Amino acid sequence: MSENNDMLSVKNLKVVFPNQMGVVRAVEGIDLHVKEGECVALVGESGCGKSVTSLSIMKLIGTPPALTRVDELVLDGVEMKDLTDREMQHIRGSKISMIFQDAMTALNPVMTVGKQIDEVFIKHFHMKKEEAKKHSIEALARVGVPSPEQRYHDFPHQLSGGMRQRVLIAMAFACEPKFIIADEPTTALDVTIQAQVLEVLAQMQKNNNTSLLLITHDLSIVANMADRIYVMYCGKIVEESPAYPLFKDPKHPYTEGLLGAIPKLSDKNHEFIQIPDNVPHPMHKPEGCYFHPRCRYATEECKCQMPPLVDIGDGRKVRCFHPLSKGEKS
Amino acid sequence: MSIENTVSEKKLTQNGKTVWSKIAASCLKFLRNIGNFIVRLWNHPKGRVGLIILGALSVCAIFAPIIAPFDPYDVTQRAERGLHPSWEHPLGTTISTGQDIFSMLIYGARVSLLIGIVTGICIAFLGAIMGILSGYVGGWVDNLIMRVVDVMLVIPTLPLTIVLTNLFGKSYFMIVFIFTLFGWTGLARTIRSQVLVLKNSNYVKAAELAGAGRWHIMMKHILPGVSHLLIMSTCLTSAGIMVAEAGLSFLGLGDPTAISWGKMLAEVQSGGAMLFGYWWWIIAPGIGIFLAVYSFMRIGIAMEEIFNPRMKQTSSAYKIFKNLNNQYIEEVFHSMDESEKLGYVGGVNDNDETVGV
Amino acid sequence: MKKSYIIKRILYTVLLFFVVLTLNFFIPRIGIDDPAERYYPPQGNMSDIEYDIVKQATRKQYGFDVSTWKQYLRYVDGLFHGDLGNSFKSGSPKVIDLIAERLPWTLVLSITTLFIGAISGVLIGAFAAWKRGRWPDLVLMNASTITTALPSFFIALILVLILGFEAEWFPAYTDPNMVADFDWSPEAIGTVFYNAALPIFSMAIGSIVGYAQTTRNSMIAVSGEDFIVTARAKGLSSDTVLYKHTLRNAILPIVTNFGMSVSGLVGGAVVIEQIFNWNGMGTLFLEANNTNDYPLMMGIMLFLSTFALVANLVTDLCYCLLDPRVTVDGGRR
Repeated sequence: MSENNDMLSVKNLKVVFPNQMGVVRAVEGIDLHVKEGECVALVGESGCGKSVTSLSIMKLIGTPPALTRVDELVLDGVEMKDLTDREMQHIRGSKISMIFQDAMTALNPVMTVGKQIDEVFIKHFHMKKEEAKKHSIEALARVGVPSPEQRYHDFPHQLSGGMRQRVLIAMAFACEPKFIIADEPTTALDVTIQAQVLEVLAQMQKNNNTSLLLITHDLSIVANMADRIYVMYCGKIVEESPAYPLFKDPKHPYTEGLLGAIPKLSDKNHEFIQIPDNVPHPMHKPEGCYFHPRCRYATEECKCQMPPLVDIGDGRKVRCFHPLSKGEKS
Repeated sequence: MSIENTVSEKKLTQNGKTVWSKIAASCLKFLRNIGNFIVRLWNHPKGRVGLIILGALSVCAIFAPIIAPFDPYDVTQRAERGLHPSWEHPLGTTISTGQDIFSMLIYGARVSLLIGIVTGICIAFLGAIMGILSGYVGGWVDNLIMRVVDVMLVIPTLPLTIVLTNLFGKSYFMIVFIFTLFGWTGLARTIRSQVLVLKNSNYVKAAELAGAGRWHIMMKHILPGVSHLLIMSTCLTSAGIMVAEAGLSFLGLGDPTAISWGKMLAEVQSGGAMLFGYWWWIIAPGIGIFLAVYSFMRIGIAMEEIFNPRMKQTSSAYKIFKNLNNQYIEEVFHSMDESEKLGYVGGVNDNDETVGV
Repeated sequence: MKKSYIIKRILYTVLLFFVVLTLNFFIPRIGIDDPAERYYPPQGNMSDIEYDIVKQATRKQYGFDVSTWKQYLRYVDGLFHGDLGNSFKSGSPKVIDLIAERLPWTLVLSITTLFIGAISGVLIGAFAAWKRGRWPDLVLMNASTITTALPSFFIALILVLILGFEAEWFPAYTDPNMVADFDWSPEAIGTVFYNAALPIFSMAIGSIVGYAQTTRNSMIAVSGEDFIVTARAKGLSSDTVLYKHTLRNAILPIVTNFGMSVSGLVGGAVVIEQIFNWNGMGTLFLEANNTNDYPLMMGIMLFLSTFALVANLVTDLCYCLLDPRVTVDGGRR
């Protein structure tokens, strides 16, 4: 792996949440790397540790409630592992920023959206208020908000869901950071609006040559955007692959299940492959491979041993004793 | 004929049986619910303190004639005035009348608890009805009730209570009535907002689509949804009412014939206990009021924490981190690394172990 | 949109005022045929004929000689001329003058209490929220249950016993000459606060703890919101996040609380005033009640409700300025 052109490189990230009953292992040692200008997706069901991962990359997760360990957390050549919160403040917003899931709650309800974008410019570019306002309006225009001068003075509750999400995107791209994390950016939206917002996001990423880490539970929205995909299950990466081969030929049964949940118009005989049951509770993860109780290919070996993440060539890795081959796919 | 008769009789008895068994079953269910509830409270540290205090006070109130050494209502059982505490009179006697203060204290529990609980229940009833009606029925009913609430909120309660007791006589019935009349507004607002949430929930919509009547939905779906809120706030209102009652009695506006803690405090002031430094006489009724109110508040807060466990989390996170077993955490992190290297063998049942040192 | 809300709110307050006015007029008359007889009972050993003459005179003097509706209209009319009728006190002083005479003394107590309570309460609450889960927070949480369970008049009695009678630091009862001798000189003002110390202190304890509790809960609730994470993700310093985002939102419940205490500012001190024999509205009301001074009682009640109405209006308008989500028909959130 060439370290040089990695925008972000995370090695062995572990996050646990102690509580009265014991320890919740949210993230169990994952490695991620994102190249410059690349769009990488992190896919998994809710509760698998995706959001915790994104917050830990921003170092936004506090030490109560969580305990975090990481071997390496490098952003654009800067090791962030040991930076203090004060030092992180200069990096957040200017070099790395984040788009949150629910724009309604992610925006301050008592502040105009314009003022909220201004804050980024004032903090990182030390602009005057009027100057910041000019830039904020430009930023709003760039994400396709109509009549941005008026919208600048609106409060979040006066905007529609799609507009709010655009505001969040404008805010994230305000300082043209090199790396952006989008945590389920479209989950709270209608399907049509979803497509528009994704379009804006993809456009912004292309124009600025930004690296994007797209976190989602929905493989279908990833298909057109992502260059590479990580599939996460119960705090572990179970499959890593370039996008196209993953859709064509999933190696992990869990990925197959996720893909099976997407209906395809072209294939009339296509059967839904369902993953039975739910994600195990993070306090009661099963022994062996975490996926084995829900896996239809599970053997005795899977029940007592956690399979390692094996490199199978072509930039693909899979954590399974019995990776699927094309013929096996039903 | 006779056969028919016996058959119909049989039917009747069967019907009677089913009706009775139904009633018995629902009574049993109700009792079991209350039992479960008390057990849950007992298992909650704050709730247990409240239950113990409340239990002790209730025993005092119910068995007051047995526990109290003297009957403070009995004019013949009066001792010398202004006695200091002694074995015979644990808290001395009053300066003005020579009543045994300890006995008054025990009898005083009756008034305070009775008014608190009865008014609390009345308010819960009225507040629930008004809140559910205004939230669920909506429209002009909602408008009317909420406008009444607006008016009630600006009318000064204490002066009005004084005027009304003056008009209709100073009896505890009147006090309960007035407190209920003015106490339901806050609860109705809380219940209303909760009902508005429930009204839009899927199960209520499903019931509506299935053709269930309004009354049925209110009783079967809405009421159970707000019952937790209702029980909790009944405890907290009862606590508030006990303070208010004490204040009213203190101003000499309670029932003039009864002995209550508020009235005892009024006598403290008028009887000159301060001047002579009879501190036990001053402290005793205050402690009584404090314990009664405190027990209700504890129970109320405990219920809040039982029903919304989220309330507690923030503060307990620090406790957990304070008592964190660092070695254990290191082992957890280490085990994750090990599993990567070797293929991890063994369980991850963290729930068996505790984090505490 | 905002403007129409404000106008609507003001009109509604005026409407409420008339409802409250009407209630105030009629409630004390429930079940009473002849106010003169009810509120002016025979005195000493008056003969029936003498009493009849007195009654007639009273009716005439206080306007009970016409029908209730006419009395009501007369009352409303008087109100618009700043007249709340005459008290039954000897010399029939105007009710409005009596109120004006006592009001400042109550306000001295309650406004001082309010500011002590709000300022120190908010500071303590913010501190407890900052030290969440550690000892300052735990102390506050326990103190709040304990002081809520202790009636303020009991605290007052204990303070009188300890600081008034035993230690003799502060006067246990208000100096009766305080009001008469008051002349705005620094010494007179000093005397007022010296006498007011115990009443203010006994009311302030509950107030401080109340504000601290509200502030703490609201701060903790807000700091768990998503937009706080957004603000931190923008790279804002923790001070900016605190002042511009957390406090700005956490202040909303505190404003509500403040408005509620303002609306109870005048009527809330009845019991405390009674204990310390403080010459305020509360004692005036109790006097009126004891002497069946019915016009005075009506006047005080109306004054208290109007005060509460205006306070509520101002609170709502402040809230409207602070929280953009307040809509024309939605009220608060």
